[in-house]
Amino acid sequence: MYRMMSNWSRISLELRTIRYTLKKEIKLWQRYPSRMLFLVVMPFLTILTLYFQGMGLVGGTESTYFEEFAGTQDYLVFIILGSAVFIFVSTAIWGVGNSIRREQMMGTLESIWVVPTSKLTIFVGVALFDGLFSSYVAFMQLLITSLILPVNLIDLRIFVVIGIAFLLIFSLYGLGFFFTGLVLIYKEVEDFTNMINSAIRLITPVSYPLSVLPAPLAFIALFIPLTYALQAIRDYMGLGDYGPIYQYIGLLLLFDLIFIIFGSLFFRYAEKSAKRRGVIATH
Amino acid sequence: MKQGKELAIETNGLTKAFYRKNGIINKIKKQESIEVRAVDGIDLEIRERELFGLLGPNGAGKTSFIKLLSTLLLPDKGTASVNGWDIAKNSFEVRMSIGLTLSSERQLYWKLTARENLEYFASLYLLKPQEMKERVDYVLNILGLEEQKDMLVENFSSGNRQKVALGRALLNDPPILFLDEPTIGLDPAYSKSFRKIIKERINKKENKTILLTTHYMEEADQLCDRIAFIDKGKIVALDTPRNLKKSIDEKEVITLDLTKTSDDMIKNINRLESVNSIDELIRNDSELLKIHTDSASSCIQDIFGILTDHHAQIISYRTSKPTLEDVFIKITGSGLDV
Amino acid sequence: MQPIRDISFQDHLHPILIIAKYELIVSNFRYPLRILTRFISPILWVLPFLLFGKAVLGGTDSAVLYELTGIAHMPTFILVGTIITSISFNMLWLMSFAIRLESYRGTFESIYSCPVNKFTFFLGKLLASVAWSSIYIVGLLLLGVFVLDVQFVWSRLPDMLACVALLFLAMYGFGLVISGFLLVYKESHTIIHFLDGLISLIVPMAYPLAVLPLFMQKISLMMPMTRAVIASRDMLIMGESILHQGDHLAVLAAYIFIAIPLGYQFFKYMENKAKMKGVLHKY
Repeated sequence: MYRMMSNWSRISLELRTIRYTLKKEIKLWQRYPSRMLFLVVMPFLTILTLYFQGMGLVGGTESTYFEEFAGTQDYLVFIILGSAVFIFVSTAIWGVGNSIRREQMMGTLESIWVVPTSKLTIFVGVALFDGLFSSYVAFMQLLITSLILPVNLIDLRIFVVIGIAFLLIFSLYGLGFFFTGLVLIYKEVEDFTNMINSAIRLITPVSYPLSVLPAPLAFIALFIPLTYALQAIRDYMGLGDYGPIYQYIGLLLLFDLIFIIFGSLFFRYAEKSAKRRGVIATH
Repeated sequence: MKQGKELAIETNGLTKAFYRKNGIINKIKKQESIEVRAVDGIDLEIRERELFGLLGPNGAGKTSFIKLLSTLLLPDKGTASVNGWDIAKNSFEVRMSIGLTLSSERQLYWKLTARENLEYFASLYLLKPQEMKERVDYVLNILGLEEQKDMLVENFSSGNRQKVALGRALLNDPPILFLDEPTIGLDPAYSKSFRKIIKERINKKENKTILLTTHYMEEADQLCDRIAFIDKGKIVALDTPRNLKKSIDEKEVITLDLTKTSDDMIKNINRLESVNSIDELIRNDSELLKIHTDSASSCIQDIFGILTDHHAQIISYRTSKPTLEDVFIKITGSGLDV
Repeated sequence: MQPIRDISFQDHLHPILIIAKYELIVSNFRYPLRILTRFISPILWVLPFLLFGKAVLGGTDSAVLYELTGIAHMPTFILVGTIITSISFNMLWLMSFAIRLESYRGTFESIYSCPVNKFTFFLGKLLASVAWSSIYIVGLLLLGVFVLDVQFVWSRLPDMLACVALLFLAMYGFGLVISGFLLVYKESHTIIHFLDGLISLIVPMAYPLAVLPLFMQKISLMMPMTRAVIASRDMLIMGESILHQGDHLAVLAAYIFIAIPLGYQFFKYMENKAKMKGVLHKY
């Protein structure tokens, strides 16, 4: 009967699945309010650490050397914006990929796997939640930072910043698929996920400009959409002159597409491999 | 085999309650959290070298009772001693006296081999290095796991995993074993061989006292010297399997599985001379009648006649001797698989 | 009553080595991917601080840092801090989550019904942490020597390692307290992660103590990790002997002689509480 449905009926059912997946993810997070606190506060602690480090090295929140690398002396605002955007990446890495691991642990994975709904649809729901959730957390972090540190980032421009960061969601969707595939194949990937999280943070201009990195690492950063999101945001906020903002947004969207395609292909391969080996729901 | 006269396990008024947490709404309404008495004033004596069964449905309190005796829980009231040692005051000595297997699927390290698992636990049982090797080899041998000893446990069948778990419980050569649902999830062939090991090898040959919990009545029937029925945390009956079955006067039981029953129909069947009593069990998609009678052949035709008059549809029927489940149903009003 | 074996004092100690051995095997050696990630993680962790430092300094030397600590070379300063904090956290995590890990593996109740003393059990975990931390130390030292051009007084390395040994023992009490807490309050692991972040902020890993607000400095000086970091810098960078670290060693000794017995008593108290509540086994 499902096959006999019209394409339109099927699309509307898939859309409904997205809505219910979103609801489920929200409910799961509501059951763990301390995680919310954790996600808001932890990145702020990272910012504080870098702030203290800056104070210990240059005695203030501005550096002329920093301007040579980044086009702005204000390293504090630089790292705050980077950290806020990085929340989207962390949530995606620990969200979509981890949601599969959670389903495995809860024993519900096989039940989900056999439903006729496309897995892509289910993950769109999860990715959408991750995007909305990250936006909220990023906003909260900017608010807290503005209250405690000598910066003021709470104005209407923040919503544009978060809007640009939200465009990352498509690439993160692809990244999430990649990690989901890894979990299907390798099972115990938390450490690897952690390492990838750290590696992305290392080679992208989250806490320092790209020009500080050794050339090979800076080159790899050019293939990560986060780099373009950060350049676009900093340019918009007047932190240095990176060139026309639309070119970064264009590159961001291009890489979004590449990540989605690659992530989805890898996921399909991993799914087939796991089914062949009979390990979809095993720990 | 003679059982010891000394008591291996003794409990007096042993009680343990859990409190179910309230959700936010009930907390706002200031409702008290719900008390669940998992173990409710149990008095029990188990002799040395006895194979004692604790039989009851899921949630009856069997596992909680075992956990109390193995010092994983502290009692709210009452006392208990294991091998003469108080469970609350002498937990070290109690743990030196027992071996424990639990019903959970994962109680071993799946990323270690059988031998590595046993070596590790042997160290936790404070065995000296030389003793450790000897005991590990001995246990692998008696359980028939020598060929698989260097295989990762994650690649074992569930039956062999359960064997390794049993082996772990034997490492310390304890006088008392607690086996919590030892054959749950095992196929019939494996269950049979497992029970043989428990009865013949561990209880009879090695002279160990065994407290075994199960909800499989045929397992309790086959293995145990004595059985206690436990329901809602209380012991509701205690005797040998034979005496328990004799406690039902009837010689035979007619079991009818019907699509539905009615009060009138049951009353009419009850009026028949050779029918002693009827137990009714309502299931999801059928209703089970257990008709206790002195002689099935003398009343079966009348029973079918009554069923026909009431347009009852029979899914299945059989005649049998009373089982422990029948005894349990008679005493508690519910089955063992609730 | 059947007799039970006599257990000597040595019998109680014997499991320590075996617990350590199998912890290393179960947690690490049977997961090839994990060995790789564990080796790389501390390096990935420290690099962003070094790159940020480079970005604000334009190089590796800082006059402000020299004024505050007597050390001008930023990478050397940070590397010592990283060595101490990474091994501290490794040890803290392993001990704090020792119980939780066993619950996750399903072996918790099997272990708890064995006669092994919990103090011994945790010593085994501590030893596993020491073994693993040695790998961190070697990795970071190699990074320092071959990449960062660190300026150590190598003759003081044994002094520093002695200080690290004392730190391990001092942290043992900490670990017992956290582990005890987690026995009863299972969902508090998020709070522990949060405390972890807070400790990272307070301990002067990447900056001198003097840049922290006064109240944070006072709290920091009460932490054994801070004392170990400062003493290690004094020894390994400034060339001072361990005999001149009296203040710092006194704090470490206080933790060893006070925190360990108190921590153990707290653990036993929480253990009994968990047994009364019936939550000992719950994950």
